[in-house]
Amino acid sequence: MATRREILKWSFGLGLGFAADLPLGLAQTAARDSIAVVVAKTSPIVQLSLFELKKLYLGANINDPSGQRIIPFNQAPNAPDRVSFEDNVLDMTPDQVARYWIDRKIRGEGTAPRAVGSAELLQRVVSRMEHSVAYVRASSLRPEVRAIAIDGAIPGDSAYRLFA
Amino acid sequence: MVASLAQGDGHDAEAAVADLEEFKLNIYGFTDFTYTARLNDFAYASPYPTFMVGNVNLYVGAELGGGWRALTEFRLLYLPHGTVPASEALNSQPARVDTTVTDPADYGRPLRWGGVEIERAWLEYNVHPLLTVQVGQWLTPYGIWNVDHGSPVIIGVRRPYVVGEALIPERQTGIQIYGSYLTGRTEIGYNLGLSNGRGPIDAYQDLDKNKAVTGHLFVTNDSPIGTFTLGGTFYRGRYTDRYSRFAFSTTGEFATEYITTERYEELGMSADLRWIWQDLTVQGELIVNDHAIDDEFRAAAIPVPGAPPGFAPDYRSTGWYAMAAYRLPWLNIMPFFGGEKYASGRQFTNDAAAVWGGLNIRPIPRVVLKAQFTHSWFTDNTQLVGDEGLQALDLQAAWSF
Repeated sequence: MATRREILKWSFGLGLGFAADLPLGLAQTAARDSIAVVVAKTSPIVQLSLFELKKLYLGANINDPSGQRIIPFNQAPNAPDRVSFEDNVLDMTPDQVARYWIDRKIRGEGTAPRAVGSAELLQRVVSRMEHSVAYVRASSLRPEVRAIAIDGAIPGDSAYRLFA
Repeated sequence: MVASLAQGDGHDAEAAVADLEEFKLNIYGFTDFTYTARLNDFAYASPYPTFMVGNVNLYVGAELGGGWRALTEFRLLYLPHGTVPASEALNSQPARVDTTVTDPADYGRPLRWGGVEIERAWLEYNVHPLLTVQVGQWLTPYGIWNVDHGSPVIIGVRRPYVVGEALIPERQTGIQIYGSYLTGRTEIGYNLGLSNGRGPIDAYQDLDKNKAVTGHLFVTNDSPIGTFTLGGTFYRGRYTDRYSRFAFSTTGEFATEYITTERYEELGMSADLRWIWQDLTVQGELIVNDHAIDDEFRAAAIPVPGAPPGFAPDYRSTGWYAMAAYRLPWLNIMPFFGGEKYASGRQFTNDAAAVWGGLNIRPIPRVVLKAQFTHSWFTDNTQLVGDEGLQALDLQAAWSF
């Protein structure tokens, strides 16, 4: 499903609203920290599209360039960065995400990405599993992981769209 | 100190990785409780309002590692206690099945045992996003309702009649492969299955050499105006019922003889469309089944006064439903409404239609409260069955655990 931001952009693009398309991203860059999607330094994953990232966190099987299945990890339920990530990427509230995974389990389609305690521990886990991805606040990036590009942009780029 | 802290960090991470990779059995399930009341006089439904625990389903699943996954779903039943066997249906005083036994753990007091239905049991191996191989018993991946499957997931209380009729088998035993491909904001996916098909004991034995084939294709597109999913399914199979007995062959040898009692070919097709935009869901399914009886086993037609005798004809069953639902921002209340039509195509059965509507309330993700009003009626031969139809109220609490 399209994110609310995309709908806003789409509406503005059609001239249905205020001329606020570009400032949406720029204002957020200035006011808020980015959410970086991180992988191990040795990971073959360099980039993902926002759609791939969304599908990955909704349970789809997606392989990395080496042909291995990508394993997504979550932050703890209701962690502020997880709430932001799910809002940015999945366009869902924590309640909607919980409903989604309950429904998916009943359909027999698998379980939610595992949650790992703190953002720090999460990065250390990702650094040891080169086919995994997670997300953390860009300002708290540890040296053993690196941020990947989402839709061609990395945290700090004006086109980057994932914010805390 | 820094070194030991760093080592501690490493141990934490190693422990976390080990914990993530450890084998874990995942046990969960759902249950529903329903109150049903008929609101008008209708000859074909019980006039007595009733409470019912309908589904008590237990799942046991596991990620086995290395891309292997297994899932078994059991439905725990009060049945067969209380059911009336088909052989008793026309009896003036039909006898119910009675499973009452004495409970040795409680001074021999009466205890009624129930059964277990295995809803699915499969093992799968994920080779690639384009290819997962699944073996065992699986839910046929057709349409929306059959995949949604559980009462906490489906929006209304009752499934549309055409879905309940299983024009495509609800589940099959065999092998299926499936996968999907992402391109841009579109996902294209497929399922291809080979199974015993439909049969009297299809979960564990095929009574003919013909294997059923199921194919399913879907396309999902994510756009600023929501997510559209369009799917299509076909099912081709042969139903055979037979029994075996020992007999002397024409050459005088003692051998097993297989006697076929029923055989027909069937072709099922379905199309489905779902549109989800923000909190709005619109969905519909169309299902068709062609039922071609083998002439060797074609029964005599039910005699009609004044008409010449004949044989039971082949027939086509068709049905569809469409529904819309919108999740309001207050208390997760979702009003829904829909309609359906079903034509069985069989001799001496009536076509029927229904409209329904109600509320689906999800106060917390694991609990769903539903209320549904249904008005259904026959659309032909109403001089025989009346044209008032059935009006019914269903209230349901469904919860997952």
